[in-house]
Amino acid sequence: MTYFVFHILEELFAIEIDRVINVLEMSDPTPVPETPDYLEGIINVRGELLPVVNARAKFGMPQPPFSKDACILLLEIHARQEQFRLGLMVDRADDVIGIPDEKLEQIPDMGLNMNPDYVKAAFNREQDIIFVLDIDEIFSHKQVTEIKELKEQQKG
Amino acid sequence: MDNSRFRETFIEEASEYLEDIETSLLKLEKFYSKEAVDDIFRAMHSLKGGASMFGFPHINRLTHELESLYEQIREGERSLDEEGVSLTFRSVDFIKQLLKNDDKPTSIDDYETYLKKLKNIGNAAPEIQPSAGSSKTSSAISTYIIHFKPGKEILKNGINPVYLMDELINLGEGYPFARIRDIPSFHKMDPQLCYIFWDVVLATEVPEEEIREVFLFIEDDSDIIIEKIAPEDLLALEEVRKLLSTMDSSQEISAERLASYAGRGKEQKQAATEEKPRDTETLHTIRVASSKIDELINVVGEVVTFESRLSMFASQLRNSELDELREGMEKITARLREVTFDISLVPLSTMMLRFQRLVRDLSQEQGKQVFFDVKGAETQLDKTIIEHLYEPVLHIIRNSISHGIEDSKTRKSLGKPEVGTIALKAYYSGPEVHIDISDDGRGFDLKRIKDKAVEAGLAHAGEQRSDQDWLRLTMTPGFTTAQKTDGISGRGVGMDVIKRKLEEVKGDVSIFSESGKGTKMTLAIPLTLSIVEGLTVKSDNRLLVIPVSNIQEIVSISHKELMRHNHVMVVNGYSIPFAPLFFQPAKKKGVTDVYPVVIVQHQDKKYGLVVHSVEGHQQVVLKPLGNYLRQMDVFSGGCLLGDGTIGFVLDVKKYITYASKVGTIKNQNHAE
Repeated sequence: MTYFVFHILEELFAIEIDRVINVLEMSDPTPVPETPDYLEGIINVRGELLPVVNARAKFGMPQPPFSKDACILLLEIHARQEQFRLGLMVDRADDVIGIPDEKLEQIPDMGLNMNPDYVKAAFNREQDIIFVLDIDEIFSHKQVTEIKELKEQQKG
Repeated sequence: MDNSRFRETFIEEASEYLEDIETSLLKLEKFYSKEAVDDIFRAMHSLKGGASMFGFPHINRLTHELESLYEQIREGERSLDEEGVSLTFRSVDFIKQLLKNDDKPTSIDDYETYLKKLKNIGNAAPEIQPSAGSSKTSSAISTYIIHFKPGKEILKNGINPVYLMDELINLGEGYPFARIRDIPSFHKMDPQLCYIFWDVVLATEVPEEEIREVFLFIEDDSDIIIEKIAPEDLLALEEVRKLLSTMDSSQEISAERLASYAGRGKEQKQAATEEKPRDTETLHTIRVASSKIDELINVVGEVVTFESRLSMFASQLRNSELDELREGMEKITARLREVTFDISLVPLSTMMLRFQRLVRDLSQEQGKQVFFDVKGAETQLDKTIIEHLYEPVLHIIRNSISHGIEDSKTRKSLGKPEVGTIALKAYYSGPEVHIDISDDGRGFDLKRIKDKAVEAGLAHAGEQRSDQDWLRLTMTPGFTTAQKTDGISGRGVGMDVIKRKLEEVKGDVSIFSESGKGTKMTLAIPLTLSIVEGLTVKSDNRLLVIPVSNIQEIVSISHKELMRHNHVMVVNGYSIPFAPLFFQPAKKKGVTDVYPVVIVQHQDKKYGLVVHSVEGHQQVVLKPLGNYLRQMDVFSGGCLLGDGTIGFVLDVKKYITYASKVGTIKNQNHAE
């Protein structure tokens, strides 16, 4: 399997290459009112309006300013019954590598700074550990689309 | 040679023919129509030819039998009874199945038996049923010329001769010619007198006395001449029809000339069999894959956006030549958008056939008599909306037949007409299309709904609510009043599906029901989803578009008023709750700012949306925000504005609901 590897801050992550449709230059998404902070906003990709998620915010990481290497990965998500596209704002594109399935390791129980459901597997590349993200899981969660306070609020 | 492409086309066209046949059959079920029989015959004939050409031998044999059957009916050698219609319906289903399975019958035995049955009917000694009263065959029809000159005073007696003409023509088929040459010049005319008289060519099966009866009450004062010109239906002849339709009202009708066509019927029929192409309708329309139209709409949306950018750019440059180009471009773009928009509209009638069939099959299955009355089928809607409407309408009709309409016996004992009615009425209402679907069945059982709602924890026992409110509860997911699951939906199951499906197209449904009298559901659907006429406003530097259709007026509010705690302002004597639209007003002291307030209406109540500025008024192409943001439903979508920036189109209804829930809008009573 071939993977697209990228940085979020200093950490390395990978996504199956067939889910990465394009790598877009960093741009300034138009913010949508009343949405969670990690939703940066909407961008126009050849006439199609697509949401952009800030990967650091989504994974609860710190938020220093983005460098000029930052970019937006255009991803295809296969959620339960549907497919859709969205942009994921990351710090730097790294590489495209092939990882044989047998080289994939189970994710460690400790030392992982994020929701373990989001990570499918890990891979050791020399000194680095690359985490393979389960993007379908990350973006199919019901809660991600919530509008603040809305749904659960009891009728006043 | 690979003929799969042709086969595909054949399948597609065959489905159209089958649809035509079904339409004609539904007509025939109500009353005999020679035209409908002809149409079925022709469709079968074409199907037969196509099936043999493109290698569908089973369809070919089946259609061959049907064609022969209908040929006999056409020739008046046999009559078409209920069984014949049912049999043809079944055959249509059979052919549909064959088309789907690449001409392979699911069971070859069944196929052969069925074919034999058809053959037997076809071969059975042709009998003409001399049905009592009115004969259904064309042979009993005669053609008359009727001259009717009402007395001048007829209008003073309160009689409208036009109604008499209607009545006359309803006896059969007729061509009326209104003679106006006796009308005097304007200043000599007495408007209370009738100067017009008529000549009518009428083909009918009723005897002359019955024709005369139409004029029963005015016979004495009027000139009425009824002349029988041929003992056959001359109007069935193409040439006669052509002749009559080219005549204008000043030309006299020559009885001799018409009569001379008599006897030509036979040859004519033969000829029609061979060459009466369906081109009259089909030449004017072409079939296009709907994905291509979607693409076209997208591209036009792009063009519109680029054009706005061009305009903006040009207005900055102030170059007169460029301005001229821009102006031309603007006009063409507007036209292009209109035309494209029009293409994407489809009349509701496209899905009515399926419902006619559903009503017929389902009511027969359940032994009920149901009349399906459709009005306004010509109402047009965006094609994507139509697709989304099919399922909810299907559920509603199915519910009506299964649970609303009682069987004939029960209806009779209740003093209702034995035949139940499901009426579908579509009409434009402002920027929306409304579809009323009503039945005269037993209506919702309000008591049971109340019990179930309390049981499900949706309401408290003894709670006071309006009937409407209770009925609304049936649309809560999972709500059901069905006591047993019976294969078909219980009244109530599927109500949430109906609501959800409509919400997908920004529509809404309301229920009215009276126990014992019937149920009416009104679906309200926007005309189109793709283009919004909107007011662009800025709120915290964000561009928002409020659909003009929701806006009542724009007023202003001072900062001081804005900061008031009860969030209610008074406009023209009414108190209106307001809310800042997606911003937190700063609590500065001594600010003298004034904010515009857009007053919108939702469910008969007015609300004020406070914004920072009103930017302008424009049409925008609505774009979906994608599945990821689907629950972000206070916006119906996004749009690209002239300068390429992205704006969000407010769904006023959803926003009010949301803002009331989170408390930004204090949704209190409108007490003055």
